[in-house]
Amino acid sequence: MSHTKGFLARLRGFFSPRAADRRMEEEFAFHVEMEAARLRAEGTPPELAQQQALARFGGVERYRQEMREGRRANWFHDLRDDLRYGTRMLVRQRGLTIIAIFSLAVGIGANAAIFSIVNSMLLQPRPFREPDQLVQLYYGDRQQPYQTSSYPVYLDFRERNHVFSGLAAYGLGHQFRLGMPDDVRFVWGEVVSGNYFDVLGIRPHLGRMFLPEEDSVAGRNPVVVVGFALWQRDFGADSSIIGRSIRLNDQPVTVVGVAPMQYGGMITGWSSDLWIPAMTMAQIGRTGDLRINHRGSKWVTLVGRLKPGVTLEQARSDTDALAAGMRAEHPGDWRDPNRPERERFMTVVPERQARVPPQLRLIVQGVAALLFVVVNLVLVIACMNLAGLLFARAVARRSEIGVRLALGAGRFRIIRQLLTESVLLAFVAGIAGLLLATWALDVLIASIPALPEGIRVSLDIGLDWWVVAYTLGFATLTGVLFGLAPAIQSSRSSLMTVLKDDQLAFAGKSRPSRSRRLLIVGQVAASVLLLIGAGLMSRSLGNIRPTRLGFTTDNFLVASLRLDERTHDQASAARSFEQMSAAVAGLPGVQHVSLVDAVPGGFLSRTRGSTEVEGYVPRPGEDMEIDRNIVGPGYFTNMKIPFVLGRDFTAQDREGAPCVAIINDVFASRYLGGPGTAIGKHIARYRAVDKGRPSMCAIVGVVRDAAWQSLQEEPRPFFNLTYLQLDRREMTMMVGTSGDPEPVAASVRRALRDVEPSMPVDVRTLTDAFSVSLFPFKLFGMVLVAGGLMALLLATIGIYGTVSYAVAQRRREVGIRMALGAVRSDILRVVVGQGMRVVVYGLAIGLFLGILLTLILSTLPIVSSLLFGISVVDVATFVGVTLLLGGVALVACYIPALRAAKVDPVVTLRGL
Amino acid sequence: MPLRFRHPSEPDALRGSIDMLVLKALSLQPAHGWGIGLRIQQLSKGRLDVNQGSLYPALQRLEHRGFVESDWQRSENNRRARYYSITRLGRKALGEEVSKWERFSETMTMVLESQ
Repeated sequence: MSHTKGFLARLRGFFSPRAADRRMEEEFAFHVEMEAARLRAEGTPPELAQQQALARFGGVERYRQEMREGRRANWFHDLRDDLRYGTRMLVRQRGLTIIAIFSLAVGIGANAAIFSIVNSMLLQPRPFREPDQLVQLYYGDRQQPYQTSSYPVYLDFRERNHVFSGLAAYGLGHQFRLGMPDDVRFVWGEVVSGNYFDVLGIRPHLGRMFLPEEDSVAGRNPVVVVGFALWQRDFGADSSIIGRSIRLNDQPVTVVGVAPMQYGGMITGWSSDLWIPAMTMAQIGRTGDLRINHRGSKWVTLVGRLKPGVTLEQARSDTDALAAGMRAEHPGDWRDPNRPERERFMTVVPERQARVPPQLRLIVQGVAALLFVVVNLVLVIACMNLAGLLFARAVARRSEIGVRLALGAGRFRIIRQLLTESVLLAFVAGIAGLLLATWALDVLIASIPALPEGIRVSLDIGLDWWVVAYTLGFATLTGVLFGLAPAIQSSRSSLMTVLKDDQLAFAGKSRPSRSRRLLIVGQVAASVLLLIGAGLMSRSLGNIRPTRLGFTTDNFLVASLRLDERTHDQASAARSFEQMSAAVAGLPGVQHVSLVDAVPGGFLSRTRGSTEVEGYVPRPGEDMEIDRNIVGPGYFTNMKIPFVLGRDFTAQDREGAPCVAIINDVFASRYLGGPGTAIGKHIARYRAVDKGRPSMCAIVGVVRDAAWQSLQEEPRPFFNLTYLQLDRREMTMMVGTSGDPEPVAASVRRALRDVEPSMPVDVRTLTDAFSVSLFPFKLFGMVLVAGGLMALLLATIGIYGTVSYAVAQRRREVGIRMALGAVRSDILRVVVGQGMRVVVYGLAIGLFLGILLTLILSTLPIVSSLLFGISVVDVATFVGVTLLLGGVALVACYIPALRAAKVDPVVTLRGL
Repeated sequence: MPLRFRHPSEPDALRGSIDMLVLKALSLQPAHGWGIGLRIQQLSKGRLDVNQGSLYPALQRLEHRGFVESDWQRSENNRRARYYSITRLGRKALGEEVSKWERFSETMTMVLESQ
């Protein structure tokens, strides 16, 4: 109780020195006055009394000073002394200090870098007004709940709901041709309802957002809001753009506003170039009318703002009730005609949770969790290094501390001194870690590959100060914990025992203490875990190309062909595609040309459609949405994809001729009893736009599997149709070259322009195109490998430090042994043996945990999808990691052992 | 726990004795600074005449350690004055210091008077 009061008095004095000064002066004045009064009462003349009273008080100024210091003493003065002393100690033991600071800086830097990315993508608030009121509404069935709905369904909800103050719709990833004075280029935009910006609460940077009437009548006011980045880059940040007409898909559209800089669309990290109302889309898109009126055209996601006071639960039940009503009205909207057992419904998700598209949430969470584990393992290893260092120092300083205790230092004071040093160390390491993190972020951003034209990633990645605080705190805590235990222990010891111990140190008693050995075991085990992760990842990355793709990615160019949807009908588009193919095929250096819808391993999402296979009766509830690709004549021959049976598409398979299809062998064996019985059977596809009329296509060929979608997937059934029998305006041209494709690109570009002058041309090598779809894996692999290498480095430092310390402690013992006849090889064997025994324990534990963890983790679909071409317990990785770590550890033990073996027995013995 | 103070300008012994004297003076009844000085003088029958100013750093030290408490009250001549009183912790510390001092002075006497 009185302790607390004393403490409070001290705090008061510390925080308000002025008030304390005032009280002190009052007290002094009172004292002098009382004394003067006493002196007067004793008969001293009044004029002398005051003077004498002051004299009896002593030097006022001196006591003032003493009081002030007394108030601060335990805080500032001691702190200053501790800091000065701590700095001196750290500078004196330069080697150990640098190692500790470096280790911690790596741990802190890695954490700060990774979490800054996570923070900027997932945690930072988006620029919406009151984002907590926003929810997204997804449409789908139980298997795939997060899909897009149709515009009429949106309108139904907008009119009938009771819970939203506003409900908007948006469609992502629409590509437009933007006409510039001398060029045509692709831009990406969102097609939105007119109230989109109002509902989100986003104010324009310039001009205005959309008006209600711009969303009410199709085709009246073609308007656009352009993105900040596009405005800056392509329109020179010219504010006279408002009211000007630009050409989108060859149609004039009026710019009404510029979006604010911090808003790039509904997907974080993505930067949309423009937004147009759905009614404008009806004018400039080929299928625009269909988008707005057709219930089968599903392309919008709904975003609503809850009325004040409406809870998420109320919004959900209102939405469910409305959907139930609509189910009776438009059964087709809410039930797939081919799979009536699958009921569709709306899922309401708060905006914060919809930040990551819900269908990707599992993957993103998995990756984030793995990253978290990686960087924290690195941090733990770094902190173990720090702990090891502090431990060694505390032991080395036992005699110093003993002496200070004997001279009358308080235990608390000593402990505080040691803590100050730990904190100082963590602080310096924190600054170094920040520098490292900024550098790492730069490297990371620089490694983002070039994306297809028009796609821009906008990541505002700044250092996250919370992470910095967290890591600094963690490091300081480590310093305190591992510095404190030995400090308390040594502060308990008396000088005599310390000095005696020191004398006894040579008698083989001072092998690295149990805790230091445990630290090494932990470090090695953690490094093994990280290295195994890094090894598995890089091995599976290396496996992607040769095994799964079915062809090499060298010597290919890809060009995206997007014809003007207004000027081309199906026949003229097919003609144009054939002309372009012929023109490019005739160029020098070009071996073959083929067209394809989705490039194998490419960036584009896959196309699926409900499919019926002749002679196959699906099991109840079986998913019959089968992947399909659209290719041109000669595609499989050119890509060297072998035929199991049958033939490739030819130029004769065109509109008017019977529809033909080519399937892969997984399709054949799953649905048709093998390739032999597949040829001649028919595939019927139901598409919404065909209004229930199936298109029947005869199977003419069966090809070997090739991963044609994203690289990591297992072979799955798919079938191919030819573009000559479909209404296609967009295709991708794959150009096989005889040598390096790069020099041919320019002539391909020219040839394409000659045929289609108004078409934007984007030609790149297939390798470049791949780097985009591989980037997530590459990035993840990079982080894992970097983490593994950091762990290896830190563990090596730790082992080296511990063994060096042990050797230094045992100089006298070594000297005696050598004087008694031990030779260098004996010393080497003993020292290396002791160090390596600890390492082997760590290796064994790490390998065991590694096998256990990979076995457990591989049951998760995310993880197994990241590992392709190798089994989970990959022997090569495990053996490699063991050899690598063992080898490095051996070197780390051997160098200090050599130093021990060079000990001159005469010198050390004299030291006794 | 020992009552010990260190300061570069004054020997420990002297500072320790001031603290002990202050605690002793306050153990009789609460007083303000001047009153404490007066009481020490009276108790020592005028033989101890410390610099009166040095009482205040001592009082501050003792307060920080929780041995005395202070609050502002009206003095006998109706002025605002800071009154100090000893705490339970302070009494305990005083007891320890006194017995330590007795042992010390006994020892010193024994040594100095031995022949």
